[in-house]
Order: sequence, then C-alpha cells, then structure tokens
Amino acid sequence: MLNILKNNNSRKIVNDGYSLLMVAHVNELKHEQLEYLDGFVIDSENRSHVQEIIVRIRTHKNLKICLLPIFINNLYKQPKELVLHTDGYINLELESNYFERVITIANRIKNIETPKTIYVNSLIQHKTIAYLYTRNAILKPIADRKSTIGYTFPFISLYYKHYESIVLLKNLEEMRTLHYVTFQLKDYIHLCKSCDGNYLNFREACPKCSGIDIVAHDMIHHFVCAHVAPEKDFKIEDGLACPKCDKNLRHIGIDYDKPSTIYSCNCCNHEFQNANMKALCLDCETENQLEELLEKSIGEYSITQKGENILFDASIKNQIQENQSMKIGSMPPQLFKIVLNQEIKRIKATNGYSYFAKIEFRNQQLQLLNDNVKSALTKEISGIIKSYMEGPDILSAENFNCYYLMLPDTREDQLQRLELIDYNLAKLINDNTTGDNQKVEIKIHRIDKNDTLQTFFS
Amino acid sequence: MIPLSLHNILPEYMNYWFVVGIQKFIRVFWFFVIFEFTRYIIIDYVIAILFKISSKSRTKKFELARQQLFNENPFVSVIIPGKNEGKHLYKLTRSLAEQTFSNFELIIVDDGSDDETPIIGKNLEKLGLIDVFIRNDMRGGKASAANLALRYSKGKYIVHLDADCSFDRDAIEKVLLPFFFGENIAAVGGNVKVRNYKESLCAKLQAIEYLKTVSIGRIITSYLGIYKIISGAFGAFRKDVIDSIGGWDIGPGLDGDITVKIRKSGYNVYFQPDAICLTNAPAKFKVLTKQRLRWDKSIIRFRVRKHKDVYFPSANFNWLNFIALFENVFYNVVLDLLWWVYIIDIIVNYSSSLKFIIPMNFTLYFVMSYVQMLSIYIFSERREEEKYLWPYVILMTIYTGTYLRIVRTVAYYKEFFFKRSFEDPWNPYKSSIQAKRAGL
Repeated sequence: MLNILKNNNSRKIVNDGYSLLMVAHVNELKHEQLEYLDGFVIDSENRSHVQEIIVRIRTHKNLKICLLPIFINNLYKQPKELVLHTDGYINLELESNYFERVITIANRIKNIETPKTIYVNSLIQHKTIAYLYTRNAILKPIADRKSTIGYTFPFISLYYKHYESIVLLKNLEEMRTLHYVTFQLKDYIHLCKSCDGNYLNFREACPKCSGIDIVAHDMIHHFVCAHVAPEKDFKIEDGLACPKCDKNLRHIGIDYDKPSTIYSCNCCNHEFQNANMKALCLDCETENQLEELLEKSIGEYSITQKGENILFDASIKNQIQENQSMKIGSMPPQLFKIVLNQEIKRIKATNGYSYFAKIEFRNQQLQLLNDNVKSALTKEISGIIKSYMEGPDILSAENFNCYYLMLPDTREDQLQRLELIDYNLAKLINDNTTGDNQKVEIKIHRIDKNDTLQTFFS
Repeated sequence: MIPLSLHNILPEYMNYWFVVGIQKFIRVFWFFVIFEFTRYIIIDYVIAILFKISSKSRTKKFELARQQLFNENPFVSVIIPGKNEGKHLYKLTRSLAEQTFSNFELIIVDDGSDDETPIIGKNLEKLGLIDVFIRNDMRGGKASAANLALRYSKGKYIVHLDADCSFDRDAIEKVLLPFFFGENIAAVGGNVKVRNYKESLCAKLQAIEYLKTVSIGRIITSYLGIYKIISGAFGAFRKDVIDSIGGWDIGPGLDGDITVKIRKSGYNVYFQPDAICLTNAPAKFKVLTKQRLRWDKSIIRFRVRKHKDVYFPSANFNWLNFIALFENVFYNVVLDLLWWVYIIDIIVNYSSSLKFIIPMNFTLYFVMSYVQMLSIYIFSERREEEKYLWPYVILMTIYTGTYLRIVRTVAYYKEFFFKRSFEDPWNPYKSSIQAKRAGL
C-alpha cells in the first residue's frame, strides 16, 4: 500500500514500512534523520538542485546513508551523467516496481559493516565496493566530456572533483591490485603530462621549428626522365608538365606516379616527410610529445568474492591502504623531526657523532611534472638513497624534491655514501630531463649539542 | 707436325720462338702488340712517369686547394639513394661522422624498400645521424631516388655515395679539392677499391681489376682529359651544373651517363685517386656476371646510342669528348669484336702452331699483368696491403682476357640487337618502357 505523507514540509512515500523521502532541494535533507530512511526520490526539474542532492547523499560520511537508493521522478528528465549515480527513474504510481528494489538494497545494506579506517581513499574504496554489492552491479564508465579523463564512473566519481579524475583511476587501480574488483578493458585514454587532462588537440608539426603551419605536397615521379619533385614544381596553368624535360604529364601510372608525400613548413621553409605529432592540452596549454602522454586504461569493474568479504569482515578493513610514506619506506616528516630532536638530546648527553643531510633537487623541469610522475620519481629517488643507507640511518621525504637523512653514529670519514648518493641522483635526473641546470644539492650538518630543530628546518 | 714428348717440350718451344723472328712474332701477336701492349704498358708507363714528375707541383696545387676549401668551408650535400640499404646505414653514418670535412648534410632516399630500411632510416633521422630521410613508397629506380635527393639538397656540392661503402677519413675533403683547381671542373670521381678482397677468389680478381681499371686507368684518362665515368659509389658534383643538366637519367649505367652529360655541357671532370672509398664487390661469379652484363650493356646504350652526337661534327663538337668516348667504345666494343677476329685468324692461319702460340699468348699477358701491377704499386697509397693480391695476378689473363671478354660479348650482342638493358629489373619496368619508347 502506498502512502504519501506530508509532515513538517517533508513528503515521504511509505510502503510496507519502507519510506522514501521526496526531495526537491538539498536543504530539505538538513531537517531529516536520514538514517531512518530507505531511499530518496528526487522530485525536481532543476539540474543543479538534483546534482546537489545526489552529491550530498552519495558522499555522506555515513556508509549506510550514502548507499541508499536514489530515484528520479520520471516527470523530470535529467542528463545521463547525473542519472548514472542514481538508481534510475521511477513512476510514482507504479510503486511495486521500485519498492522491490528498495527492499533488496536495504537488506544488503544491513549486512555491511562500517569501516573504521581513517584513510579517505580506503573509505571511498569501501563505499564503492559496497555500492556494487548492494546494486549487484558492474561499475561501468560512461563517456563524459566534462570529465578530465573523458569518462565518469557511477558513484565513485562523485568523491572527486573534476580535476582529480586521475586520483580516482589510481584508487580504482588499487582496488584491482588488492583483488577487490576485477577489470575488463574498454578503452585507453591519453592524458596531458602536466594536468592529467584529456582535452587534447593533436597536431602535426614541423620537426625543426615546431610550427604547425605545414602543408603536405604529393611527390611526382616522371618515369621517362626520372625527375622527382613535389607536385607544385610540375604545376602549370592547365595541368602538369615536367620541369626537366618539358613533357606534359597526362596519365598517372603510365607517365608518372606519386610515390610519396612531403611536407613543407610555412614558418621555416623546412621540408620533411615525417611530421612530429604533438598534443596540445587545451586545459593547461602544455605541449605534449606523444610519448610523454600518460596512457591509462578505462574499463568495467566487478566486485570479487574478496571484495564482498571485506564488506562483512571488520578485521581486514585496514588492509586497504598505507600512506605514501610507508610506500617509499621513509618516515613521515613530523615523526622524523621528533626523532631528530631525540638525537640532538642524545648527542648532548653522549657527545657522539651524528650527521643530518638535506637533499634537494634544484630543477625547474621537475616542477612541471604531474603528481603521478612526481610520485614515481619520489619512489625512485628514495630507492637510490636507501640503497646506500646503513642500519641506523633514517630517511624522510618532505616532498618529491626535498629529502632528509639522519645518519646516527657516523664520523666524517664515513660520509662517502653521501657522495655516491649525490652521483647517482644527479645521473638519474640528467638521464631523464634535458637542459644544463640539473642540480642535486646535499647539505651536510654535524648534529651538535647546541642545535635545535630550527637549525635544520629554518 | 713434330710430335711432342714431355722431356723435350720446353727446348722445342724455346727453339720455335727463336726461329720465327720478330716479324712473324708481331704477325702472330698483332692484337697484343698493337692494342694491349701499346695502351696498357707504353701509354700507362709514359703517363706514370709524367705523373710522378709533376707530383711536386701537384702537391702544391692540392695544398693551395685545401686552404681554399677550409677558408670557404662550402656546405655540401651527401646524398645516398638506394633500396633495401637499411642494414648499411648506421655503419655509413659512423664512417661519415669521422670525416675531416664536416660541413655537410646527409640525405638518404629510400627507393621503395621492402625491408626494415624505412624504420632504420627514420630512427637515424630522429637520432640526428641523418639530416634528411625521404621514403618513396613506390620504387622509381636509382636515378629518380638520386634526383629526389638532389631536389632537397642545399649544398654547393653534391657528393653521391653508395650505402654499402665506407670512406677514408679524408675522402670527402680530398674529393672536394679539385673543384678549387679551376672554375671549369664540375665533377670529381673518387677512387673506389674493393673492401672484401679476402672473401673469395672472385673478389680478389675484382680487387686487382679495380686497381688496374679504376685506380690506374682513371688516373691516366683523367691526366689525358678523357676521363668519362664517375663511379656512382663515390663522386662529387657542382650542384649548379648538375641542376642545369637535369640530374640523373634512367639507368642502368647512369653514373657514366651523367659524366658524359657534364662533359657535353662544356665542363671538365677530374679523377681524384687519393679520395678513397671501399666497397664490397660481388663474391660469386654468378652475381658478378649479372653485374657485368648490366654494366656492359650500358656502354652500347649510352656511349653508342644516346650520346652518338659526340662522334659527329656539330656546334658543340669537342675533340676530348670524342676521344673519351671513342677510346671507351674502341677498347671495349671494337676490340672485343676484333679479338674474335684475331682468334679466327690464328685458328685459320696458324692451326699447326697453336701448341706454341697459346702458351706464348698466356705468357705475354701474364708478364703484362705483372708489369701493370708494378705501375699500380708505384701509384697506390695502400701498396703494402695490396701485396696480398700479387699471387693472384697470374689469373688475370683468364679473368679479363677470357671470362670478362665473353661476358662483354654476350652483353653487347643482347643490347645491340635486342635492347635488353630496358628489361633489366635493376630499373622498374614502368620507367624502362617509357625510356625505351622515348629512345633514351
């Protein structure tokens, strides 16, 4: 039996003890105790209102609320990039059609445990897996021009701003690595090296001056005299004539053929056959060589048995993610400072020999790298540094181009490892970037009893 | 007829030649005495002596030219047309990178290769080892590929190379020097030697042949002003001149053809023996035969047919051009036919003395080969290495006197009566058929 109740300006559809809130504006959610609801029906034509409602519900910190079904009153048509985050349109008069679905989802939500992780990415992963489980659905990307990666995923995309899509992909990749989902490839996307955008304009350019004002000419080979030149050389008022032997070219394949094409650049007059393909990012205006573009896979994700299990088993919830510091095997800077402070105190007490080293990269090109490359570079740099570290040494990464190293119980004649680190880091940077300004700077400071943390981090 | 036994064969042979007298000797060996000995021994040695005498002034001339070359430092285009030459390209770029003269661009034209040449070429271009790499998807023949390279060359001089060659460090410098001897020199031929002479007997014999005909033969013809073939493997040209004559025409034999075209335009050509290029010669006689059939057919096609105007009085008649081509045609075509006449003459008139004539004939050619080799020894800058070839000189009589003569005769017959050079797959059919129709 269907009842539409109207209390305190809120409208609810109640059926068999399950209630759906009819909502037309996001403010209507403020006065409701959402945890007691079983779903929502969006009853608005206004697109931005609809979007706000969907975002508010789907990104709700309470797992049980964000998973609730959201329907759209079929009186109002909404764009597909909004509809995909909902459970679809409903006809309010055919309540049996959607309440069955409400009940199924509600039953599944009941079984899910709320994770106690503090990591945002872990929470998003957990919610996404739960969403797939409650809907018994596959996470299918849909083409979306407004997304920087060109695709939007149901549910999970709402957790990321439009410029964070690459982080979304990373999170999905991680879910795949952890075997919570399986992946089926649907497309490859190519993204700007600088901003991860995919609004790219592919152009052919002159390999000499990089100008794009280039024109292609057919090459003509005149058989009888073996003269070969661009078509423009053969053009006369009423056809083609060979500039070498003055004969008219009448029949392709008999008198002449066109064995190739050649470009000429209107900027520098350079003539060439192999134009450089470049991709201009229309978002950040970065010019990308094709090989510099980031290639990412786009596909469909289905929940695995392992994925389902973590929804019910609280003990494995915190497996989901480790922080970046753990990944590169270094200590978080805050903790490093505490340990360094302790070391200063120890030196005061023991008059021992310890060193502090600050490794900095002074390279403007590094600033242009995107976060993924910076992250990969950080890993590689940390790897090099760690390979020369000894047992008690401690490494911390402030960011991708600034690292701290504490060398306890180390005398001056034991610092050769810093030279090796310097040499190998300089080689890494020189091999991977161009220009002459590649500089790795290592500042070494012997930890003194009079030192304070300001001495090292001023 | 006196029966010969093994123990008295030598005394009888000696006795026969003492008895016949000089007149009969000349009568029997008229072919050798009139044509071979005069041309390849007397003239060679006279020129060799004159060449040696003038060596001081030549050294001075070259030194001056060298100063001018490096003062002017002209931009040069090195062009390499070819098909399926990708495997040679990297080595070639390394060989060129070592050159003492470095102000050049390297242009490679891939004439419709069906192997990995396009990939290799593009990569080398990307790496900066090749300045311009142009690929024609459809094969057009060597002349069209060379003309394409010419179209995109920016140098004052064009150096035409074969991809499978390597060069002495100063080869490009040396080949450019003669351009500073005088305004009228429009083309310079480099000295092509055989690199793989240790590979097989076939290659060894060609190495000796190249030394005789390319190294020494061209010094002589260049000295006399009748040098008429700049090898496609290594030659330098003035771009303005080569542009004015329309570049290369359809081959086979396009290198000899372009040299004659330059000469006919009123320019001089020069052979530079010190500009050394090494190339791989065919290692098998089967391959060599095919190559020589092609080369020899081109003598009839170009020297006898296409450029026949050189032999007749006209406004552009030039004695040196006449002699250059006449000498070429006479010593290759006419003497080749005359040799068969000589053979018939001997068989008909001296059939009873063949047992004495044939060994003496071989002895004469054998001695002449070694005397010629001595002149090579005098001229060569690689004389110590070339000593390796001396034991094989003995086989040159059979190689040049018999094998090459037969190949030549077959080639001339096929070309003269059937114009077979137009069917040679060396050039694409689409071009050859047009050239044949146009009477080229």
